[in-house]
Amino acid sequence: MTTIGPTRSRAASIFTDIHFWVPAAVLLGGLLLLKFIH
Amino acid sequence: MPAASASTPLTNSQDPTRHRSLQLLGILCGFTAGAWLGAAEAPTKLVSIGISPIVISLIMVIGVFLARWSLPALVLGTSSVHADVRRAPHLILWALLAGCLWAVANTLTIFAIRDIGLSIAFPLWNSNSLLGIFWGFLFFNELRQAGWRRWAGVLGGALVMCIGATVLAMASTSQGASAHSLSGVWAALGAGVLWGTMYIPYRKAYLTGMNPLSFVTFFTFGELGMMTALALSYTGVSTLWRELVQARTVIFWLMLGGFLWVIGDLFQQYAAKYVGISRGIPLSNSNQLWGLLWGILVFGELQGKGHTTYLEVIGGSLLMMLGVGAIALSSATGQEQTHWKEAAQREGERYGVAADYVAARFEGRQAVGESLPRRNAVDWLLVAAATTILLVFASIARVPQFSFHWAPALALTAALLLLLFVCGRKLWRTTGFH
Repeated sequence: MTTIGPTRSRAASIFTDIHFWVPAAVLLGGLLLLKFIH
Repeated sequence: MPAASASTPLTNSQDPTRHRSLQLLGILCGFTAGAWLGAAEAPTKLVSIGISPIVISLIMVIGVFLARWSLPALVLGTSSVHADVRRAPHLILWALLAGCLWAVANTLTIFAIRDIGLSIAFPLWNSNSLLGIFWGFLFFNELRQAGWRRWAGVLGGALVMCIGATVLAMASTSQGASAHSLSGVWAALGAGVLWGTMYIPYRKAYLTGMNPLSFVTFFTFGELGMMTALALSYTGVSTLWRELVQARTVIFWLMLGGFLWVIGDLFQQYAAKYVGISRGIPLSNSNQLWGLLWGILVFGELQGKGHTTYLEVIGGSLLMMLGVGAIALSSATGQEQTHWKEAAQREGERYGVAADYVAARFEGRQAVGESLPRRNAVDWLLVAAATTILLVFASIARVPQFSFHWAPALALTAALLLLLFVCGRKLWRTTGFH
């Protein structure tokens, strides 16, 4: 099997992917909430 | 080996029999996950000494870490993990992210129970399955063109399960809220949002073709790393060490709970892979029912309670079973499957993952030319190390005095092993654990 190289860099694909930013934002919110509660 | 273009559309080679078989497999995995996740609570009930909840959670996560590396090594070998990661290295980031989300959510539940009690907190964080349905629809084309009957089955089933879970939580909790604190409500809601969002990385990984056994090995680094950071920040190094030493006689039971939890979680991952998060997650949320069975039958938790409590337990259990049944009967149709494939193709194109690999894994098969996974010396070393660590802590473990009923414990254990055998065998025969 041959893996095809991405048409743009992998980092760019990740950081323009909403599937990354939604969980990242929720994680940040969770950490802030934990800090606030504690 | 044929080169595959990442832009090649996923072929619709899946025959209806294979499709039905994978759907049934996913539903069976969801049931089995619920049973094992519920059983994971049993060893933790043996722990009653005064150690902080965060330390208890950390020890369980260490047990989880051991299991997450040794079980995949035992089942397929770490060579399979390496092969998966070579094909889709970007998913390591999502696995770490999902592990961090799990650890923060789990810690929030501890504060929620402290502030508002289990009966109020549980239904709030159990809303995670509804959020999972939403993300599945929005990002991964789940339930697209599914028809109103399937929508009603999935959404209605999840709602009925939430109501059933609420009734069970009311029946099983003995403590009231320590304070009607708004922060407890926020903590429970926050845990639900974090867990519900954690399913985005799950679905992304499995649509791309990653094996659940590979995903969880990296998930656990995020889980253990975040949990260690939280425990250190809340207790400090010296206090944490003192509590760990103080807890040494119960570490085995907590690690065992973590180990059982991993078995359940693996089946949950396979359920998410084959029936999607909108169906797989509510099905595995039936763990509360199994946890309650262990509590009532084995540990005699409701002894001396009134008729109302028993009516709540029966009513809540029936509601949960009704919800599970509704979701199990709402498997994805051919049209919805086509939308799943479009989402998988989009992921493959974005990250340059070979289309033949994505297509093969979508159907639970090995890609053409993919070498068979083999176990090597490193795998046996990992299994031996995990076993040794568990045996060391088992040798210093103490069995506390508590009410324990052997007959139901043996019956429930037999049911667990039967589910493990039946589901594991079907997974092996249908997909070879892919």
